[in-house]
Amino acid sequence: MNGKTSVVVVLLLVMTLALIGAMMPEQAQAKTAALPGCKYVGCTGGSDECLTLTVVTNGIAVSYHCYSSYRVPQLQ
Amino acid sequence: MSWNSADRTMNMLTRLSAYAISTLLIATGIDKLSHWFQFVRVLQEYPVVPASIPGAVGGLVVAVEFLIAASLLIGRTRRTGFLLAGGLFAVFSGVVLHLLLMRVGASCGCMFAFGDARATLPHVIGNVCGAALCLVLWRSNTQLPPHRADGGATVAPPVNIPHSSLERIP
Repeated sequence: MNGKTSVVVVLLLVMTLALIGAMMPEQAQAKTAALPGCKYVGCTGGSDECLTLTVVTNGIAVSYHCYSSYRVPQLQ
Repeated sequence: MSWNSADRTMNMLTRLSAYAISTLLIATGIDKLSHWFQFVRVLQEYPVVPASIPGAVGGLVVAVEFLIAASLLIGRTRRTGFLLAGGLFAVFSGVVLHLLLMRVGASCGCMFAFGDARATLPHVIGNVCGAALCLVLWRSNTQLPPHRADGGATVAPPVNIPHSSLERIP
C-alpha cells in the first residue's frame, strides 16, 4: 500500500470506530440505575420514545424531559 | 503502464468509502425523518439555528444528506459528492465540538434510534475523520480513467491518426 492508501484506510477505520462508539446505546435507565440514592420509576410519553423520565431521590420523585435527560447525571 | 495494485486498492477503497458514507447519510436522514419532532426540538436548542425556523433547517439538513448520499452512489458525481460530504462532516464537527465545549450534556441530534445521544468526543473524532477522508478521496485521481494528470498511466493514441504518420516513428 502506498501512503495515500494507508491514510485512507486509517481514516476509514478511525471514523467507523468513532461513529460506532458515538452511536452506542445510551439509555437513561441504565445511567439512572447506577446513581446511588436514585430509583428509576419509568417513562411516560410517546410510543417509540421516552418523553419523561421520573427519578426518585431520597423519597422525592423528580421528572425530567428525556430530551434533556442528561441533566440526570447531575444528581450525582 | 496499466493500473497497478495500489491504484486498484485505492479505487476499491474509494468505492467502499462512498458506499459506507452514503449508507450512513441515508440511515441518519431516515432516522431524523422518523423522529422528526424530536429532531426539531434538538435543533431549537442549537445556538447556531435561528429559533424561528428549526423545521426548515431540519428539512434542509435531511435534504442535503440525501442529495450527497445520491451523488456518492453515482460514479459521475462521486468526486463532487466527496467534496460536499467533506463540507457537511466539517460543519457537523464544528457544531458537535461547540456543543461539547459550551453545552455539556446537550444532545447531538445525530441518531435517535439508538437513544438521544449526547455530543461526545467520539462524535467529533468521527466527523473530523469523515471530513478528512472525503477530502483525501476528492483529491484522489483514481476515480478517473487511466489518463491521469501525473502522467503515470498509459495514454492511448487517438484513433484518427493517419496510419502513415504512425509508420514514420522509428
